[in-house]
Amino acid sequence: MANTVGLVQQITWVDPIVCVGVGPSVPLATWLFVRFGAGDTDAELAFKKAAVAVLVRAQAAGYPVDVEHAAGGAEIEGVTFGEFDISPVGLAVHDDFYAVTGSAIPANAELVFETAALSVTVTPDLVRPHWVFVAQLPSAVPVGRNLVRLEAAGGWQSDSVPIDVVSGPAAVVRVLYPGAPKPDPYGIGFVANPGIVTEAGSFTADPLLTNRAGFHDTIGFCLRTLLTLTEDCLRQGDWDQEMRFVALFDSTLIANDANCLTSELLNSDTMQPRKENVGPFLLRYGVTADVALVIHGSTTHTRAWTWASVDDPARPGTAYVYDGVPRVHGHYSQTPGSAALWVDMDRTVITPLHESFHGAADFNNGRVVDLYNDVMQGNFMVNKKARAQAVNPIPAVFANYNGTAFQSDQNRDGLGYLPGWTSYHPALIDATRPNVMDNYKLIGADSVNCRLDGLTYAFLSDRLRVKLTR
Amino acid sequence: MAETTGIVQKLNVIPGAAVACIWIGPTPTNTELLFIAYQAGDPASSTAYQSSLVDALAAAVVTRREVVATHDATSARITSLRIDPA
Repeated sequence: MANTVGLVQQITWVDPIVCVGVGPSVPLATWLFVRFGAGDTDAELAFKKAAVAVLVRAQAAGYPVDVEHAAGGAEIEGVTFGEFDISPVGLAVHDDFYAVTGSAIPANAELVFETAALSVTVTPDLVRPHWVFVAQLPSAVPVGRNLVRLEAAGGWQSDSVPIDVVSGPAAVVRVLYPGAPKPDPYGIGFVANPGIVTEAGSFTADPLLTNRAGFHDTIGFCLRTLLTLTEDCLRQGDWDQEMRFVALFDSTLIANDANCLTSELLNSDTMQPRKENVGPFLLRYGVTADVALVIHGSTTHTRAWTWASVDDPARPGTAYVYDGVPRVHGHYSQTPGSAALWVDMDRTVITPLHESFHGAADFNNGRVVDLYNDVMQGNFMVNKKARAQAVNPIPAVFANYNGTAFQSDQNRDGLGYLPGWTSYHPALIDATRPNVMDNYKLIGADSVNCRLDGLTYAFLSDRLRVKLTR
Repeated sequence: MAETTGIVQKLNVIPGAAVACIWIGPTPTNTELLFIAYQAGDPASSTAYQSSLVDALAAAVVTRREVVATHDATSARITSLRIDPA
C-alpha cells in the first residue's frame, strides 16, 4: 500500500471514473481515481460515492487528504481527512464565543487568523492545556476563508486549519468545549437569564438580554475563575478536559413563569436562581448540566445565591461514609446545581468559584455551605459543625470521611471565629488565607489564592470523580 | 442505545470494505472511534442511508459542527446521527 497526502486540487468525473489530483498544485498533483464498476456490489458503490463526496468536501474546505492506494497503482482504496493537531469548535462568528482544542497547549498560546492579505492575532480569555477560549471573536478577523493556528513564544506552533469566518449571527446555544466523547459528560452550563420574578411577584424582562457583550465577558471571567486560580478542585489532573461547557443566550424570549430563571429575594439585594426552572429550561435547548450558572443583569439584586444540585436517587451512586453514616454520591443530577450571578460582579474576587462549589454539592446528601456566618439550619453540611456552646473547645478532629480523619480549623485561618459563634470548620489546605467558602472578599484580589479545606476538597473531588466517570 | 457527542476529528472511508471510521471527541487526541459499515444482507436502501451518514459526517468535519452519534451501548456501529442547530 502507498499513501498520497496533500490538498485535493482537481476532481474530474468521466463515466465510470472519478479522477482526483492530490498535491501542492495541479501540475504537481498525483492523479488517482475511483472506478464505479458494473460488478461492484451496492455497498461498494455506496461507499465509493461516499469517498468521492469526502474528496469534494475536502477540496471545498481546503483540507488535506490522505489517500490510500496500491503501490504503483492509482485506484483509491481509502480516504482519510480531518487530521490536524488542533480542533476549532463550531463556527467562527464575529462577537460570538470561539474555541480551539488541542493537547499540550502552552499557557501563553495565542490564536492567529491568517488570510492572503492579513494576519490577526487574538489573545484568548482562557488557555488550558487542551483548550483555548475567546469570549468574543474580534471583528478584526476577516470574514471569509482564514487559516487559524495557535502560536506561543518560544516557537511552539500548531497546524493551520482552514475555517470560514462569518459576521453573524451569534448562536443561541454554543458549545464552548464538548467534553468527554460519551453519554452524559459532566456539564457546566452558562445561561443568560430571560426574566426575573420581582419582589412584588411580577415577571420582568432581564436587562441582560440586551447586553450580550456583558454575558460573554462574564463567561470569560467565570471560566478563568473556575479553571485557572490556585484552588484546583475543578481542574486537578486536567479533569476539565472531560467536562462539557455550553452557553445559552436567547434574546427572543419573553419574561414568563417558565422563562424566569431568577427571583429577587425579599427585602435583600440577593438574586436567587429558580432551581426548579433551570433544568427544564435548558432541556428545551437540548442542554443538560450538572451545574448551571445563570447570569442576570439586575441593578438592584446583585448579590449571588446558589442552590446545590439534587442527586437522582433512582440512578446509580457511589457510597461514602461520613462520621460513620453511610451516604451516597449520586452519579446523576435530578436537579442541577444553579447559581444566580450578576453580569457586573466584582471581577477581582472569586465569586464564580465559591458559588460553583455550592452548586456542585448535593442538597440532600452533603451541602457545602458558607462559612462566613453561624447559620446551622438545613440539611446535612459537609464543611460546618456546631458546638453545644460557643465557649466549648473546638474538637481536634472535625470529621471522619471515608476512613480519613480531617482536623478542625482551630483559628478560622486569620479571620478568627466571631464571639458567640458555635460553628467551626475543617482545617484549611492553606491556612494563610480564608477558605474559598468563607469571606474571601476580605482579602480582595488575593482571594485568587484562596483554597478549600482538606475535607471539602476531598468530598467535592470524590463527587466530581464519580460523575466524570459515570 | 448510547450517544456519543463531539466534534468529528477524523473520517476514513474504505470503499472496498464498505466501512467508514469516524473519530469523535473534544480534541484530536481525545476521541471515540465509531464506524459505519455495510452488513451482509443490508438492502440497497441501507447502503444509501450509510452513504448519506458518511456525507453528513464529512460536512461536520469541515464546518466544525458537533454531532450526536447513536449506537448500541455495546457496539461502535453508528445507527443514527443528529446535528443540532449551531
